Amino acid sequence: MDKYANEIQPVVGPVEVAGELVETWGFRRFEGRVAAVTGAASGMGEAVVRRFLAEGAIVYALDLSQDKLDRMWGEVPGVTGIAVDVADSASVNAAFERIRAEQGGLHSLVTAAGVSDSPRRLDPEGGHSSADLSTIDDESWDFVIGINLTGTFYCIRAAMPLIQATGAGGAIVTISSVGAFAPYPLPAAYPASKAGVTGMTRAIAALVARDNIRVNSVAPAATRTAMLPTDEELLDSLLALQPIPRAIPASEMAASIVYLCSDEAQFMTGQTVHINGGMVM
Amino acid sequence: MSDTPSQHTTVMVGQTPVETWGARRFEGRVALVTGAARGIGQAVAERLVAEGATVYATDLREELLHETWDGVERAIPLAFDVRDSAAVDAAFERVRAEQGRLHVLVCNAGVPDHPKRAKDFPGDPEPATIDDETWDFVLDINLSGTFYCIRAAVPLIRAVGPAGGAIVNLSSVAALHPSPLAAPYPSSKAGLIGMTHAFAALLGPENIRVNAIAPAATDGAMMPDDKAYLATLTAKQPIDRLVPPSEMAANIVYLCSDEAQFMTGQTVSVSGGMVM
Repeated sequence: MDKYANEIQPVVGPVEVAGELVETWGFRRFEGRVAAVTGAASGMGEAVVRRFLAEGAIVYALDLSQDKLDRMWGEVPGVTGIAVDVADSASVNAAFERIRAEQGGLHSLVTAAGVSDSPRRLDPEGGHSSADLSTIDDESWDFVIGINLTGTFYCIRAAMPLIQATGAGGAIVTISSVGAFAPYPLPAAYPASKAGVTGMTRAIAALVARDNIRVNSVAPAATRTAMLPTDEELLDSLLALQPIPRAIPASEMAASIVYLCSDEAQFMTGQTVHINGGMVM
Repeated sequence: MSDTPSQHTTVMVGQTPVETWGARRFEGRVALVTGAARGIGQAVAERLVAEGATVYATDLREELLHETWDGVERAIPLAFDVRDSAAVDAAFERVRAEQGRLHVLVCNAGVPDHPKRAKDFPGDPEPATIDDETWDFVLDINLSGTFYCIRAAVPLIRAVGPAGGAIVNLSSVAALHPSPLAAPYPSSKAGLIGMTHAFAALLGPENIRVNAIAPAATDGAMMPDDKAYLATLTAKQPIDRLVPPSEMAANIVYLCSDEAQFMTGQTVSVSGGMVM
């Protein structure tokens, strides 16, 4: 079986976004709604921005590099790129203050910014790093937790008053990982940060439900992004754990994330939706 | 901030306006929904029809079934008892003869208890009051009936070819949330989660996905018309309201769609946060 098969071909409701066709199946769930997406210059975050735009949303694309954002989204109507370091709470607060000043509120937040490990530990060839505990120095641990877990907290904290300002509630989707649920010997910081995201998702969901704000999480297995191991042997060993043994297209992750943001899922909160080809059930 | 409403697109299915948000995910696809005369099953069948599917709406309650579905375009009412495996086989044989294949199966037929004990919700939980007949009745419909339907449907879903198909089983928040209910109902609904795992693992390589949904109390589906009692149930949910069947249906139909084609073996709890 081709491990990259089953990319959905946009035919039913194709909408062109920045030179690529996005399958919407005809959905238009976000007309006039405002969404913010972190990690929006690549991978899953980029795919989420495309799907939001295809369904009519006004999108704030947040990522580390303004250059990268400008190259990807500069000419695209409906999207504004804001450079932000999610690990820096002042930078996060400034980004959401700008959204508040321009829109007055926010309907959806997707916290897709994340890293698999510190870049200085990642093997540039295979895209993986050692799980041996003695090799994980404090700086690497702090780097991963700082972006994946603390960064998610900073963004939700800054976004909450804006979502409350809509008066009609809203939705937050965080990105966990199958790595937080499958006992697999990954370098510990990544699964620790992603399991932390699940705990945070539940706590904040319980806290803000009465304001009609929903907080859910998705936990993907290997997805076709830059984080996908390029080491074929490693990738095959991961996919062999899935009854559906293929790498997940970023567009499919986006479909599920955007579904959780939509009114279709307005009775779902505190949930972690596992999209993993059956690796964890 | 001005709240601009999103684009609502309502499609009439029989007498029911169905919100689709414009989506057409099931054009040319064939679906079968059990327990489709009323409640969640009816709403699932309506949403599938609204998005272009041909739907076999099945139920034991023949009169109710025809009352709901007669004359609705692309809906085929088909009465059978999920407890009777010969009747189940005959029903799927008819689908095979008429359509040649099946893309979507939603196993929704279910009961809360034996009607001699309680009609709307699991009755007396005291073990001594639960006779063999009650236990068998609930397990036969909720668990064995689902097995019979999946067993009969799999050859038809395989007939779709490499694109595969999707099965959704109706579990319940009662299988996940510790609550002193009469045991047959939560036992049957937890059994469905085990069945979902086993079939998902088996059929994943063929692109046939099997997921479960675990709803909280849903309006008009197995729920007594007792506002004070319902309030005690919804008070356990961070989102403290009774969910309508159409909203539950939206989540079930999402799992049936190609939007979720890498999801299998999952139990999605649509419970207003009662279970996280």
